[in-house]
Amino acid sequence: MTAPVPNVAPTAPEHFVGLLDELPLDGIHRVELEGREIGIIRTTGGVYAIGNRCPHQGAPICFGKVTGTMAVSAADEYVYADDRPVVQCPWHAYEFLVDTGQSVGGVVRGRVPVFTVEVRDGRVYCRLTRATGAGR
Amino acid sequence: MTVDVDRHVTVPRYEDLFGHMPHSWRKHFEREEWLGSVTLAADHVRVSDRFRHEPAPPLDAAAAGDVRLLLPHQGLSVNGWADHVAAKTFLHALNGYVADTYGSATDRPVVVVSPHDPAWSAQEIREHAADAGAVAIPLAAPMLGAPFWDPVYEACVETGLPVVVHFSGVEGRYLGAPALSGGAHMSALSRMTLMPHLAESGIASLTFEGALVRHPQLRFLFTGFGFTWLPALAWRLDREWRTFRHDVPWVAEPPSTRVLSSMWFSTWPVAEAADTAGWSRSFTSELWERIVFGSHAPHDGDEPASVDAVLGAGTADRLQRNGTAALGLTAEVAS
Repeated sequence: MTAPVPNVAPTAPEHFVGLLDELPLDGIHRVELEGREIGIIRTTGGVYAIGNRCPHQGAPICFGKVTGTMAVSAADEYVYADDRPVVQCPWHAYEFLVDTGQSVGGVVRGRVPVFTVEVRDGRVYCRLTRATGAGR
Repeated sequence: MTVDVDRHVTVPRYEDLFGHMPHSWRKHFEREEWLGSVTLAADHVRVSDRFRHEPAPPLDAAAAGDVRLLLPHQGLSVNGWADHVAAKTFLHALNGYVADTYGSATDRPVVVVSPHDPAWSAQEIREHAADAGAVAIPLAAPMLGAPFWDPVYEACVETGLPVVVHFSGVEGRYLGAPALSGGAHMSALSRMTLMPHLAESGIASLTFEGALVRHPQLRFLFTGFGFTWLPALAWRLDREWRTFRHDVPWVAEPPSTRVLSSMWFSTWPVAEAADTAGWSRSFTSELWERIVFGSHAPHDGDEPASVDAVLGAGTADRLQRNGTAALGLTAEVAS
């Protein structure tokens, strides 16, 4: 008689992806994990991991740039918001929040996949599980 | 019954306006130097007894229950006038003349305002609001979405009047009126062909430049430009917004949503839409809600019957309902 299988997904393997100090600030460090290309993004607010696919037309979004963006504002006013960085797609410049993968302004359906990141003792680790909060 | 948002009316003789302007201005307009220059100018509004080569046809009586916006089309040509003070005097006289001559419960004058002085224009709107059906803005260098027009738009919202956008015919030719795409075209045929560009340009400006954020209750009637080009424009508006949203962060929804909530488009020239199979597949039911009947009469005008003939039986009824909404009429008035 075999033991029942617990109804819990096995923990995804953790991968070392680099030293925190060596990750480019506001840049995208590309790594391959389990056959998938992943972008590790370090900002002043945290470290994030995204999949390399834009939900619009499948562009390699890890070749885009990390930046702030303009918050919704009154007419003829600009309010630059860099507290939640975005990644800008290299093909059509669509913007996605790096912490949730959501499209800024809802301009496109779908989201960029985001994954779990942990920083311990200056070392950055990533699991290919859906991130639930802000970067570490 | 019919809701016609684009019926033109004409001032036959310049003297007809004299009762609506001060004596000194009459003497100014009567000077040979002035009359001669405007009479000889090919496209200029001709405030003279040679205003038209043939007498303007009288305004036919409206059928019971009809609602018509009466556009004094000659006023639109002030977008080519260099004398902005004279233009205001002319417009004030023209608006008064049209109200006194043609205005009624069913024939509602369109107040033509100055494209050079928005504060004066706001005052003109308020003065005529009680009997007016809409406000026409002669197209000029300031784009329709620019804050320049805020006094006019505030007055329109306050009085509940929609804004009519219609070319004057001097666009692309006279200094002060907007240029047409590509430059100065040699013929009237070229210019008329390109007039829809003015509508497209105005829509892009209104949706991107914040006018409809500042004045969300504004309503616009684009008349005389046709309408079959709308799907392509709406697609391009949204496409560019998705990429450049951060340049216009006040536009929080796809700009086509403002086209579908704040703008209407008249049918003239309906013959342009004769190949319905060619354009109607991309014309959504939401876009159909924005189409209204505009005869453009008496200038090569369309009859209501021609709308049904070209666009299909029942279309005229649909456009009547749309026109009722565009003009803010109650169903009782337009039935």
